[in-house]
Parts: sequence; structure tokens; C-alpha cells
Amino acid sequence: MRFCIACFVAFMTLLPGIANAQTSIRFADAGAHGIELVPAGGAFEATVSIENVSSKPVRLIGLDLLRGTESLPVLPVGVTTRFVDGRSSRRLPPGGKKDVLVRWEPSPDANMREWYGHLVATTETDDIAVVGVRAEARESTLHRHVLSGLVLLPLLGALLLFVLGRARVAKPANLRRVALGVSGLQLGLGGWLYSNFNPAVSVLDGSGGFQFLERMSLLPGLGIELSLGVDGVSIVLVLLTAFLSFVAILLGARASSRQHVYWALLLAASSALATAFLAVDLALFTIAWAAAIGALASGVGIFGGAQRRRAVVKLASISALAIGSAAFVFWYLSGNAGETLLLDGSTAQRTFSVVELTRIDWLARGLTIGGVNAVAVMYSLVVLAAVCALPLAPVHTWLSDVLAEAPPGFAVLLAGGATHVGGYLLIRVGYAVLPAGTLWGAATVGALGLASIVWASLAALVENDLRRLVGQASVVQCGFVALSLSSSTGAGVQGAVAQMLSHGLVVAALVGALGFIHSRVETTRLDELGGLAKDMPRLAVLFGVVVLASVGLPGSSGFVGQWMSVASAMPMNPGLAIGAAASLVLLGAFHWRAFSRLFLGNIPETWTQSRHLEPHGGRFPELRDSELSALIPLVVAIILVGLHPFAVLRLVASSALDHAERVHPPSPTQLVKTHPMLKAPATQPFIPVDEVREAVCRERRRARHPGLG
Amino acid sequence: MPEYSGSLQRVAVAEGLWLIPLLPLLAALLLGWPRARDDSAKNGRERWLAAVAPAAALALLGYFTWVLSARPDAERILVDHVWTFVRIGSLDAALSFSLDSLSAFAACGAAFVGAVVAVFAVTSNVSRFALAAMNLCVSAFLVVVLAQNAVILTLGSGLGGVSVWLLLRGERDAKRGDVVVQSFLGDAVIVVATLLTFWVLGGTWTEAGEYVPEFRPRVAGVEIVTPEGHEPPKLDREAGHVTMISPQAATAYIGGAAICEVDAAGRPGGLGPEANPCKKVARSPFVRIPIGPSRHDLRVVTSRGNDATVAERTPVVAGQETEMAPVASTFGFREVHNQLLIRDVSGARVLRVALLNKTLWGINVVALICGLLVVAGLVKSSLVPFSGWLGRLKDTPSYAVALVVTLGSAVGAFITVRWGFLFDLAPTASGALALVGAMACLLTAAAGVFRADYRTALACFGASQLGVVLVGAGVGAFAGAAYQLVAQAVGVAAILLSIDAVGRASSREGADLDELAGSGAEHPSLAKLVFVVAAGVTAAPIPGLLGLWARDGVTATAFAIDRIGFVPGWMVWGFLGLGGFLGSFLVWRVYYVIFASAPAAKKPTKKKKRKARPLDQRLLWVLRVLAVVLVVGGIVGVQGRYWGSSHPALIDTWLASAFAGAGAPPSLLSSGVMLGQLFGQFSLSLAGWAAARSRYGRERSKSWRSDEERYGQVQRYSLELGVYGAPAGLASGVGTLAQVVARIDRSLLGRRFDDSRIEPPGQASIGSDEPAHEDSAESSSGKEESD
Repeated sequence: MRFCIACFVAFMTLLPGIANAQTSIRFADAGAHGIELVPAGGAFEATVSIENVSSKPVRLIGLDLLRGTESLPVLPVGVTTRFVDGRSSRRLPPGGKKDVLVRWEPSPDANMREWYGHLVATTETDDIAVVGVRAEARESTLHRHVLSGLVLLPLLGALLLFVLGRARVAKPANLRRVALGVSGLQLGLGGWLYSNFNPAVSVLDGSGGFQFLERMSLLPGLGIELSLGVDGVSIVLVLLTAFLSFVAILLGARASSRQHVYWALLLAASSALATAFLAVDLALFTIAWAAAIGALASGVGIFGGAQRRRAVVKLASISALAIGSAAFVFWYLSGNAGETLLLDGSTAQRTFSVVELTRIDWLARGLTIGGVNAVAVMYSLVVLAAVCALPLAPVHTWLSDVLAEAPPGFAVLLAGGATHVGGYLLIRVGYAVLPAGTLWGAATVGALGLASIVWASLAALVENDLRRLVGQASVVQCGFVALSLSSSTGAGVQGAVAQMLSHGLVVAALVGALGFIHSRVETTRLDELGGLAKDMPRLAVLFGVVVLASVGLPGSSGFVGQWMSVASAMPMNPGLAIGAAASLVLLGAFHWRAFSRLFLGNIPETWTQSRHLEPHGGRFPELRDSELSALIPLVVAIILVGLHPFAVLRLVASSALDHAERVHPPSPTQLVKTHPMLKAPATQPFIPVDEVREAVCRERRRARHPGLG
Repeated sequence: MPEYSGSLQRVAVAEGLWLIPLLPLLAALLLGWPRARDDSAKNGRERWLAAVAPAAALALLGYFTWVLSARPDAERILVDHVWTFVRIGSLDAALSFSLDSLSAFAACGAAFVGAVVAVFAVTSNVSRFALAAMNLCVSAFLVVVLAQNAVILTLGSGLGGVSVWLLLRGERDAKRGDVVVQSFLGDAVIVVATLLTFWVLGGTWTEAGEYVPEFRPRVAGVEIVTPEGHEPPKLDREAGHVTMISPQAATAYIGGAAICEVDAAGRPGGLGPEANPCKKVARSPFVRIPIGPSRHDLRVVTSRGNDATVAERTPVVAGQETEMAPVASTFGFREVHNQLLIRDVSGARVLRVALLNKTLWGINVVALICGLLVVAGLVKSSLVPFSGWLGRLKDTPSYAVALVVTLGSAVGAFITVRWGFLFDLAPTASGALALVGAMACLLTAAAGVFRADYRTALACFGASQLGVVLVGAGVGAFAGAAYQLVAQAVGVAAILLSIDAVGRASSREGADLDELAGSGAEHPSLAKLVFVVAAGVTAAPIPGLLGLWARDGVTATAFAIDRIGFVPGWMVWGFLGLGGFLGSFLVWRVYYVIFASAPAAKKPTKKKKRKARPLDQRLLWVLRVLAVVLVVGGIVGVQGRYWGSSHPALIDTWLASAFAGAGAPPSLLSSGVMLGQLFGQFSLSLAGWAAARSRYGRERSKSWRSDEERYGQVQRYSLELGVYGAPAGLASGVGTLAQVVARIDRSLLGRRFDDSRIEPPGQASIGSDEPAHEDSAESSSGKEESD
């Protein structure tokens, strides 16, 4: 079986894209991946020859790069093509060649610094030749390969740790140091990416708004490419993943003979999650997502608590449903996208590229599945995948079960990182590829979000196990993500990203703190604990800050996420937004209950003589420096994001607006320069505004939803 | 003729306002972090940080207030932009502070009270953590009053809730959780009200229920008109002047050229690269940058360069100031207020009209927002029915109660004053606010009348005075409301600290009135001081002190208005009078029980014998300062109308600029009638004093102690059944619902139901009891078995 799979993969890898067969012209001198523009003065240029390979003379009628549409351009401005000889003659004798110069003159304030394109030549007999073109205005190697570094570094680290552990050449403490070093490097790369990321880039700058693009062929026969890129949405999630991986390693692991497996699986999960967020190709995204869940489930299965088997089964089954739904959607979309050009200029029958799929107006194609509009079906499946992954009610209980059994490091990456794939899916596929579906299903997503907030808050009010309670709190936070995304606005996308960021930080801190308590007394049950503030005041202070952030206290990261979620949902679904705001009281109540039971009052006397605390004189030992070093970065991040969220959200703004404009294209009334207030006669300044807007809405609804009703 | 004009407030940029709330916040952080070792000497020095920080904030405020007072009336507002908080499309909020006459007055009052209480607390050797909580409370209130926009106000309000919980020693008493939950409720209501205000200004919900989002903020050039009776600023007559305050951190262009803050030659203003290269490009907030008078295409760039907001052919007139003002969604208080003042060429206030026409679910949105603000005011000010937790303040130190009541709870009242100009648009909501505030004043005072401890009683009194502030916002007496806000802060702090000092001097640390009875005989000088303070707070029996004039600002307006929405003015006036009577009775009851009654006849205990000790002179000085402020503070509120003068009170003059274009119209009643109503209010306060004196003074009845217990029980039961019953019932219902949800949750994915993981219904209520430790051993063994 394994052999068959290996053969299939090898075959698909080697299967080339459909070449430009039986054409009279071809581009000579192009490499395997097309041509690359090289610096020439202040510009970049490359020369490629177009050759007549037929026995008859041909006349070229077209020679240009594919530039896309005005709203979704492929290339930045300043890219030109011309014949090198400068002659206007376009005739090519049999065997004749003509040199073509491709030149890019980036303006000083150009946002996009790299791009991939295709140079297409057409003859009067409709023969076509295509060659891939690549340009990179950044010279350093780090600029070119930072994304693959973010992905490969932890993967290589995982392999190294596995080998070191198997060979028993390193002590467990050294293994942790290696893991920490690798994760630190990944975090450093993330920091470099943050400082070099250009927040002003939008889809109007070309390449779908992705930066630091890296592309190579993976399975050309299936149209799958190893395509990495980062935009405003993904950069935050990648940075969060790198940060949480570092914290997860700082949290430590229990003494075990298989520590190398623990660290290797953590790093592998980190690598896979980063790949999922950076993938521009949806097939790569799916593979990476599945790999991340696989690594995390393995970690829980090997190192988890007594009920780990049940937890893994739940995690695996729900994730299989989510990944399966998403994979079906991607497969369907890729199959109906039509022929697409690959990196080298060859064509493929399928494409999984987000950028390419975004260009297609799926509603206009009128596809149906079983008589139902395909967009509605596809979006429903995307929502199903997101609901399972985030998770939202009614399939949310797996998270509590998994968090109750998972070791802290894996719990951090799972709850703080992997769950966000659900929200990311709604943005990347829902907003970008299926905008009509997003508008159609917005109210449903919002209702699911509110239901999750209320339901999980109520359940948490009577939850007795703190780790399960953190799971419920996570569901509440994810409910705000869904609520935010139901708004279909830029603020909604930005709010969802802010909420995911806050959720990641908060849940990591909560899981870490509970892990420290569990490591002391092997329980996190509220009816067994109490009064910890007396013995562990530092933990009480830090835990208090994190709990307040989870509740959404102003000045913490939680406020930004929740406030933006409610703010963005308010104009679109005021009822849902007000309901969510009212639920903050429930949120405060269950968090307060947990905090007060855990830290206030008196320590139960049974603990003073327990075997756990006897070595410490019957007292709960205060946090050690190593434990503080894991919690303090999270708390500092929570406060910094809370006080200066724009430092992160500025990365998201442009991309969020791009996504929102896919769903709500700008109408004349949204452009200030034509706004009636500034133009209309003073006698009727305002009443007509609403009328105009309503008319625009009506037209837009009619135009965009003929099939959805 | 300009296309848009209005008497907008002219602004100045003042860097450093952010330091004011930061100083106490830093002190809170430094004092709050748990220390591993107790270094007493170092602790002693560091503890003074708690008093130095608010005092330094007060000094800074003093400086900025001086700067503010040097500006003309219509230009009294300073703005300081720290950094952008959130910005995407039209959703734009900045961490910005502003100081107008209202915030200067309230912030000075808060910093003064904070500093005085901190000095008192430091000399009383309270813990570092408590000092940290005090500073956090001061910082939070300063953030609230200095907030330039509603988002930052919410930030301060949230921090205030936490600080109140810490001040109440929430970390020691799990039952104090309801304070936190109540604070969250208040914040949630504020958030909803804020967001509704934001979206209703710019966004549109069509009849089909669809909303058209805006991808960028909208601005328009508005020519600032100097109000009548005010002197216009001295501007260059040859040039036009452009001002932009919001959206903040945005760059303005004319055509393709950036507006220069300083040009290449070092001169202010001018245009960008071609005409006059910039040395420093202007980024908002900037004021009065001179440019050529003409019609300009003004472009404002916020986030993305390709998302410019353009105001085409905006006339910039020579010798005039044109502000690029937001004309859509904004969180800034000044910006929202300005939108209500902007007029078009026909003179119509177009944005105001548009706002009044907006509805949501068939309800006028402004009325809805004001209704939410009423709820927020009640919840955050701990007024009936949200005053239940005030009944548990007996064991909380007096300095903490003082800060909780004067600053922590004042957030709600301040919010209604800050948004006062919106209430001006919604008469029904204004009436509701006035009526609810007056009734809350009466009922909250009633809730404290027969309390057995002075802290709860005075806390109820303080909260009831916040009801007067709500009435002020409702009837349009904004200056009176602000005056009352500060007056109650000073008064309640003074009286609480005075009585605490009596207890300390008599070695009676408790709050029981019975225990403190007769202490006055031991400290006659302190008794006199407390008498002055009580008279200052209640306006009886000595008229003319702070208490009378602070209340008069509100009661006189309520009396003079025929109807506030659906509520007759006399009704509100009457409720306030009754509230004044009960408040006066409450305060004087506390005074006479402590200073005029004999000590309770109790058997001597075996404990250490109580011994009177001399009062700490530092504490006495603190109290003297407060008493002096209470006495002389009344001067700023004296109304000239009572003797026929046309000069308004100093406080009205100072605060007028903060509420330009809003507020109640001047009274048409004669000065004799107004003097009559003032006498009426004073008489009711005097009646409260007389009743308390006859009941608890030297000639009291012999059965007064047993009567007190009986009345106290009746009061408690009636409150719990009639007022606090609804929230308690609601909490119980939520607990039961949570049980049901948890059970369904367990069975959703086929998990075997495990009862041990869910609490029994009796324990589901919030913060109701301690952890069930009795079961811990059993549970542990159960867990081991299952493992």
C-alpha cells in the first residue's frame, strides 16, 4: 500500500503540466521556471527569444504579459515588453528568432517588490507560447527565502531532535535547549518579517496582495504548486504561531524517555501550521493543515492524560470532517476553474491557487450541485469546516475534552494556533474566493458565533474542571471571531484577526498557568483547589491579568478583539452585536467564578498534609523563574496589544479592506469625492443619501445574488 | 458664503496630557507587584509614591488648566494625540486625551481627592497593594475624564471597575464578585451605546436592513464661526487657515502637495514640494496652518495611500479658520458635538437633522443611545437597583470607600454629563434620565438611612448624590451636574475620612455606629471639624456652603423647566428635595450618633483595654484642607440671579464652553420665585438635620437603639424584596439555565455524563460561596479510581 502511494506521488510529481504542444512558436532560452528579471540600473530586465519552430512563416499578433483585471491586477505598474531590435515587423520566418525585452521599472514608492507573471505570444493562427516571468527587487537571500525559512527551520529542527534523541547523544535538557534555539530562530525570522512587511500593499499592487512570494512546482499534473506568500491576514497568524511555539517550549515537558519525540512533534506542528497560514495554494494549505492536526494529535496521544485516547479520537474525527469538507470544496473549485498557467508557463486543468481562484466570479458561472447553487453549497461546506475547526456550537465540546488531556505545549499550539485555521479559512476562501457566499451566509455565521458565546458561557458557569473551562472560554472567543466575520466588512476581518491574536495569547497563558498548578498537585478541579493567592501571589496577579483579558477588559488584547467584533457586527446585524455585548456579563461571571474559587478564600487544609505539598512545607510553591519566563512574555504581549493594537493591526488593514471590497465592492456613494454631502444641492442634502444608498443596495443585491435569492 | 460653517470649538495641541493618568498608573504598577522580601524601610519610602503620583498629576493638571484658562472662552480645549488605537476604513479611534473646561474641572477634583485620600492612607499605614489599587482608581477616573473619544473612555471605565474591586479587597472576599460582574454589565452597555452612536453618524441601515459600509472616513471643510459676544482670534488676514484634529495621524494634501507644518525655510505652514518644500509635513492634529485663500481640493490620507478622502473645492477664506472636520462616523466627543453644530449654506444644521431622522427597529436611534446611557449611568454609579453591593462596605476601610464612591462610582454619572449634548436631542430620554436620577437619589439615600455602620450609610449618601448628577444631565444643567460631581467627591471623602480619624483616635477601628457612639466627647476639635464638613455636604444647618450651591445648579433648572420630555419639572424637583431631606437626615444621624450620644453600655471585654490616643496631626491637616474646600468651594457656585444680577456663577461661566449649543434655556422665572425654590430645598435639608438632631441628639428618646434595629430590619427586607430581588432572581435563573446547558453539552458528542464535573444548582450562582473543600478528599479518591 505504502509503495503504491509512493508511486502515485512520484508519478504525479513527475507528470508535467500540459506543455504548449503543436504550436508554431516557442520561447527559447527560458529556464525550467521561466525567466527571471535581473537588475539593470534602476530597473530590472531580461531578454528571451521567441522562435518559429514550424516550417511556415508566422506573424505575431500579440506579445504581452498577462496583466489581470483592473481590480485584480497580476503585475505592478511599470512592466513593459518590446522587441530588442526595435523594428515593428512581427513576421518570423521558419526557424527565425526574435528577442523580446521584458523590463520593470519600479517607481520609488512602489509597494510590491516581487511578482510572478506570464509572457504570452500569439500568432495570427491562434498559436500561443507562454513563458513564466519572475522579478525580485530585493537582493538579500533572506528577502527571497524568509517564508521557506519560517516553514523549514522548525521542520529541520524536528528532524534533528528526532535523530539526536534516537541516537541518545544529547541529554533531555539539551534537547529542550535545541528546540528552544530553533524556535527562537523561527521567532527571530518572524520579527524580521514583521519589520520588513509592507502594510500598504493591496491587491491593486498585483500578485493578489501577497508579499515575499516563493513558488515552485510540486504536483504539476494536478496543478498543485509549493506556493508561499504572506499578506496582512496571514502575517499575524504566522507571527502568533511562531510566538506560541516558543512559549510552548518554554512551558517545558514532563520528564520522559521520549522527550525528543515531544519536542520534534511540537516543532513539526509549528512548521505545518506556519505552512498552512503561508500557503497560497489551497492543496498545500490542506496538506499542511492535516499535518498540523496529525502532529498535535500524536502529541496528545503519546503524552496526554488518562483519557487521551478518547480526546484523540474526538480531535481526529472532527478534524477529518473539517479537512474533508474543505478538501472537497477546493477540489470542486479547482476542477471548475478552467485551464490555468503554471509557474513555467505550462497549462494545468486544475488550479488550487488562491490568487487564480479569486479572479473567478463563481456566481456568474451558474454552477449547481443537485439543483442547488454551487456557491451556496461550497460556502456551506466552508462554514462547516470552520465551525468544526474553530470550534463553534454545536460541535465545540471536543476542544474542552482535548484541552483537559493534552500536555501544555500541545494544548497551547492546538487551542492558540490550530483552531484559527477555521477563521482563516472563512477569510481566505470565504471572503476572497466566495464573496457572494459570504454575504449570503453572513447572518448564519453571526448567529453561530453568538450561539457559541452564550452557550459556552453558560456551560462554563457550572464547569468544575479548569482545563475544560479554558476550552469553553476558547469557544466563546472563537464565537467572537465568527461574529466579527459575519459583518463582511474590513473592520470585521481586522476584528477577527485581532480576536484570533488575543485568543492565542490568552489561551496560551491560561493553559500554561493551569499546567503549572497541575504539575504541583495533579489536579485543576475547582472543588479541590482554592486560596492559591496566599501561597502564589505572582501567579495570582498574572492569572488575574490574563482572565481580565479573556473577559475583554479595556487595556488588554481581549478588549481589542471583542470590541472590534461587536463594533463590526453592529451595523450589519445590530441584534447579534447587542446580544454579544450583553453576553460579556456572562463571560465576566464565569471567569470571575473560576478566578475567585481558585485564588481567593483559604487553601483547603487537606493540601497541607498531601504528598504533593509535603516536600514544600505544606505550601504551594510560588512560580519558579523558568515558569515566570514563560508566562511573562504572554502577559506583556497581552498588555502591549491591548494598549497599542495598531502596532499589529496596521499590518492587517490593507488586506482586510481588500477582502471586504470583494464582498462589498465600493459603490459611488462610498467614495467621498462623489458623496452627496459634498456635491448635492444644499436644499436636499441628506434625505436623498439614504435613497441613493438603498437603490444601490437593491441593484447590488439583484446583480450579485440572482441564484441565491 | 461658506458651504459649511459652525461655531466649532477652536483647539490647541498640548503634548503631555497623557502624563496625567500615566503617573498614578505607574505608581500602581510599582506598588502592586508582589515582593518576595519585605524591606520595611524601602517600603516606607515607596509607599509615598501613592500620594506623590496623584499630587504630581494634580500639579500637571494645574499647569494645563492654567494654559486652558488663558485661552478665550470659545477656544478652551487642548488635544493630545498619543498613538492610533484602531484604524480601518471609517472605524478610527486614537489613544488621545483632551482637556476642556469640563474635564479640567472634573480631573482637578479627582486628582485632588485622590491625593488627599492617598496622603490619609499612607499615614494610616495601609498595605502597598491597597495603595496600588487607589492609584489605579485615580488613574482610571483621570482616563475617563480626559478621554478624547468614547473608546478611551471605555478603557478608563473598565480599569475603574477593576480598581473598585481591588479597593473593596476583592482578593480577600469572594462575595465581592458581583461588583466585577456589575462593572462588566456597565461597560457592555457603554460599548453598545458608543458603537450605536458611531455607526449612526455615518453608516446607513436601509429599510431593507442592509448597511453600506464606508471604506474611509469622511471629512468636509467647515469654516469656524466665532460665536456672538466672543472676540475672534487674531489670524493673518492675507491667508486662509487649515485645521485638522480628527482623523488623527492623517496627512492632508492640497492637490498633490502636502501641507507643511514647517517649510524648508523654517516658517510655519505653506505647501509641499513644488511651491514650498516641507521641512516637516503636517500630520493631524494640527491647527491653523496658513495656506493661500482659494477653493482647494483637500485630500486626507489615513491608512492606505490609495484610500484618500477628498473634499473637493473646499473654500478656504482669507482671515478665517477652516477645519477639516469628520462628517460621519467618529468616536470623538468634540467631533460628534461639532457635527450637531455644522450648518449648510441655508443655515440648516443638516447633520443634526439627519441624525434625528435615523431609526433602528422603529425606534429613534438617539433616544435608544440615550436610554442605554441612562442604564450605564445607573449601573456604573451604583444607584438603585444596582446598589446592592454598597450594603457590604462595612468591613472596607474608609479611604477605600471614599475612593470607590467619589471616583469609582462617579464614572457612570460623568458619562451622562459627557454625552449631555446627545440628551439635548432626545427629550424623552432626557426626561427618563431626570426622573430615574431623581428617584435613584431618593431611593439610594433611603437605602442608607438606618444602616448600622457609617461606611455603608455614607456610601449610600454619596451614591444618592450621583443621582443628582444624572438629573443635571437630564434637565440640561450640565454645569450644575459637573459641579455636583466634584462637590460630592470632596464632601463624601471629607466626611468619611473625618469619621475614620475619630475611630482611629478612639482606638475604635470598626464601622459600627454603636461602637463609635460617644467618640465626639473625646475629640471636641474633631467634632467641630466634622460638623463643618457635614454642614458643607448637606447644606444644613449652615446655608451657602458647597453642598447647597452644587445641588442648586441642578434643582433650580429642574424647577424652572415646565416639562423635561414627559416628566414635569416640579416632580423631579420634588424628588430631589425629598432625597435632600433623607440625605441630610442620614449624614446628621451619623454625626449625632457618634458625637452626641453616650457610649454603648457593653460589658467590658477581656481584650486589651481601649485607650484614646492623640490624633495624628498629618491626618488632621488633611481633614482641614477638605473642610476648607467645602466651605470656600461654594463661592464658585453662587448664582447672581438671586439678587437680580445678570452674572452667572463662576462655575457656569467656566463650563459654558464645554456645552456650547446644548443645555437648558435660561430661566424665565423671577428671582423671587427662584429664591423661593432655593429656600424650599434648603428647608428640606434643614428639616432632615432637625429630625436627626431631635432623634439622635442630646435629647433623644430612650428607646432609640431598639427603634433603630427595628427600622433597620424593615429597611433591609423591603430593599431585598422590592429592589434587589429582581437582579438576584435573574442571577438564579441564569444559574439554572447554565445547569441545563452543561448537561446538554455533555451529551452532545456522546460523552457519558459525569456529575462530578458540574456543580450542583445551589452553587451555580456567582461568587456565592467558598470552594466546597469538604468534598475534596472524596473527589480526589474518586479521580484516582477513575484513572
